[in-house]
Amino acid sequence: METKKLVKLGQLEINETILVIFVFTILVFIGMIFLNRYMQASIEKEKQDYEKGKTLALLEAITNMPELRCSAQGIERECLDSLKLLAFHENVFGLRKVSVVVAYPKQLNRPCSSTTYPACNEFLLYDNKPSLIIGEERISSPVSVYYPIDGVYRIGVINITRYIRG
Amino acid sequence: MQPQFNWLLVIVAGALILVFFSNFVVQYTKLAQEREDAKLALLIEGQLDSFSNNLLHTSIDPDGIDYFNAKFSCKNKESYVGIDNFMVKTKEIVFAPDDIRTDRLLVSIDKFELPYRVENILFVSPQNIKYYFSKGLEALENDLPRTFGTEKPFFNTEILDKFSLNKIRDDTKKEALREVVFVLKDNENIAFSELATLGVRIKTIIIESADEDFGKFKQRVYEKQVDGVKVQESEGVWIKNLVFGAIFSDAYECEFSQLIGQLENMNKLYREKNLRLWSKSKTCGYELMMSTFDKTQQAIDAKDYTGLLNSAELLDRQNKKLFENGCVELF
Repeated sequence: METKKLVKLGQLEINETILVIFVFTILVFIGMIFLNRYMQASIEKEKQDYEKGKTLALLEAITNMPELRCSAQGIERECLDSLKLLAFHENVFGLRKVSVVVAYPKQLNRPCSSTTYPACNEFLLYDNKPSLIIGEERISSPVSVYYPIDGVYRIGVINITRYIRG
Repeated sequence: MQPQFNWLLVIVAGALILVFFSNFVVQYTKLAQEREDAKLALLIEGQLDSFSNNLLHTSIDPDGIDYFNAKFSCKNKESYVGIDNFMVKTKEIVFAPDDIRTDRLLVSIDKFELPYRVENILFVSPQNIKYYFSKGLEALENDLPRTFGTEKPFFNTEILDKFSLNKIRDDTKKEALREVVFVLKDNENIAFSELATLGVRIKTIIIESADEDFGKFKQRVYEKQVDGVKVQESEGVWIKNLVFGAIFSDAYECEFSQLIGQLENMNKLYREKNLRLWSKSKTCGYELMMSTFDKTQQAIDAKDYTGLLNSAELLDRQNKKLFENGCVELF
């Protein structure tokens, strides 16, 4: 009678232990889900920071690109060549929009193309907008734009817009 | 029977929980490592990217990291840089060994011009890869950058007066080399298979016409394996400073194609600019340049590299002529 009681008590304790372990496992599992979400969010944040940094680096890189920079007698100068801006057709900037807007002296407010040049103010170099975006980030910097045919410099702004895909 | 069953249940449940936790620890460690690799790869890519705007030589020495495994690859005219298995695409043209284990990367940036600047190119190598230039190639070695303010070569290079197996063996031990590259004029009498037994990777580059702007090269890689020494052979062409690309890179052909692709883009862009200038001024000689741009494209298509160099020289002369005639220069 005494042994039976002890066995029952033992069984009860084992069941209790199993229950505790089961609850503990569930709690750990929930914790892991949260940890995983947190890690994914932090990776995503790092990715966003990286893309942001990339956009800033791109600003410097674009103004240094031989495809856009102006030069004379084989020596490069600190300006963008408007004829090169017009002829630029490369696909290298990812999910971004890159444009150069001539701000001063004021030009006709219309996009530049082979037919509108030089009486225009916006050179669209690149635009790759995904179908679904959740935001945009834009950085700008002043640039000097050279018009070789007229031999004049104008003040422009280079705009880089990064599309944040949804 | 019942207590035995309960014990069995506890053991099985315990084992499952143990497996679950060990798996979690393994996965977490793997993920943490991958995250660190990704951070480092992005850091290196970012630094290469920002360095590429200036003609300089410098090193990448990530803070708080002793040794790391940097990888460089090029597939389908696209370059990648990474750490272990995490690779990031880079828009830069990087001539580097494919697998580097080091504490810092030495980087030198130069421009590739034909005759206008086509692109800035990057040469990357660690200190533990040594480049021996044979006698007669001193001028080539001298074209490589020097450490700032000294005559000391920036990369680990040396002019080899006379080949000596013992010297190479000593250098390998003393400098803890992982790879030895011989840059030679012809297939000199060197026992490379013996060198391969030293346990380091051996590469030989035989450069033809090193004092000109164009030439061919033959590359051989000797690697020690269980069943002997494995030898891999390849050959290619170089133009101007791309001879260093052939020396530094393990994926030269792909990077060369990438650069030629960029040259093609630049040729089209200048052709378009030239067309517009021509439409404004019929007396400057822009029509002659149109034909040179077409010849350049033909040379690219035909892989006629001497033709390409001749076109570049002609374009340079024609551009100078524009300036002399008071016309708008193209570049």
